[in-house]
Amino acid sequence: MKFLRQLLAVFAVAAVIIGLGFVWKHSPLASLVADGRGNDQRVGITNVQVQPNTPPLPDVQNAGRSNRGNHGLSIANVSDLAQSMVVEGLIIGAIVVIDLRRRNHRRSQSGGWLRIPAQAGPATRRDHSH
Amino acid sequence: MTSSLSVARPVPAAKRRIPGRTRVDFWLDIALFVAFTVDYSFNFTGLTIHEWTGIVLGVALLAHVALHWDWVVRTTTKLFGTRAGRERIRWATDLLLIGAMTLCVASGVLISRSAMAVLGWHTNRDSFWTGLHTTSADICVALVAVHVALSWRWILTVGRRILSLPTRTKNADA
Repeated sequence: MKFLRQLLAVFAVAAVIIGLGFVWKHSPLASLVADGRGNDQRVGITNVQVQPNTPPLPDVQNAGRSNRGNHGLSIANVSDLAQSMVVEGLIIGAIVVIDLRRRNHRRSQSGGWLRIPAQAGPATRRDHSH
Repeated sequence: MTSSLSVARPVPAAKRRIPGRTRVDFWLDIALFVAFTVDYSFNFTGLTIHEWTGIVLGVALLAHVALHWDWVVRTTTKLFGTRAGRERIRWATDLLLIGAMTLCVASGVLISRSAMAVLGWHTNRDSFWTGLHTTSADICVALVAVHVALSWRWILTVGRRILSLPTRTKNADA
């Protein structure tokens, strides 16, 4: 019952956010995100002067995506997944390093090792770590 | 005094017991992280898997936030009190993340070409929702990573216990 109440609260928050999205769409600020083309491509470089007799560049942005329909997973495009993992890994790694350095700094400031909490105790709930 | 990292003595199984709720939190969080990373890789998943994963992700996210709703309320009410700076950063990150993720999933549904068609709802291609979908997804990638990173100690501690891995502890007896 408590979970249902919490779920309803989350639904309400989500509804408010989506409502704000619709307000955004009809506001002058909509151009901040609208790509103006109505497809899945990101806004690219426009108004580029092309020299005559220049061979057309490969359509890098459309490569893959335009061919990616309802054909399921594509191992050939696993580099896309690797790229996502690298981006997330770099951010996580940077924050962990900063966190460890801050902890070591505090430790050196206090003049010794901080007391390590008992490793063998029962695991706390996630909320406790927050 | 010298210190070193070493493998601790095995912990009795009773002391290693993890509450069921913590297990649910842990595996749901892992599943959400993996699902989002895979879903973000559009060229890898293809349209249909991308859309259905996104819909499932949206439902799971609602459950994830509902499971942590107590923390949301508690931290929000105490935000301007004596909470540590770290808590404020986490709160701000989570607030931005829930906003970006909600907009990402909602805009994804509104521009869906495959999943919604199966359900009999044919959507129009709209430049605003398309742009919002890609922009919010890019923001979400960074925020998800920050969100996970801010909980790395909890993930490591609980992960080791759930997977029964030996814990590393500092010994002063080197």
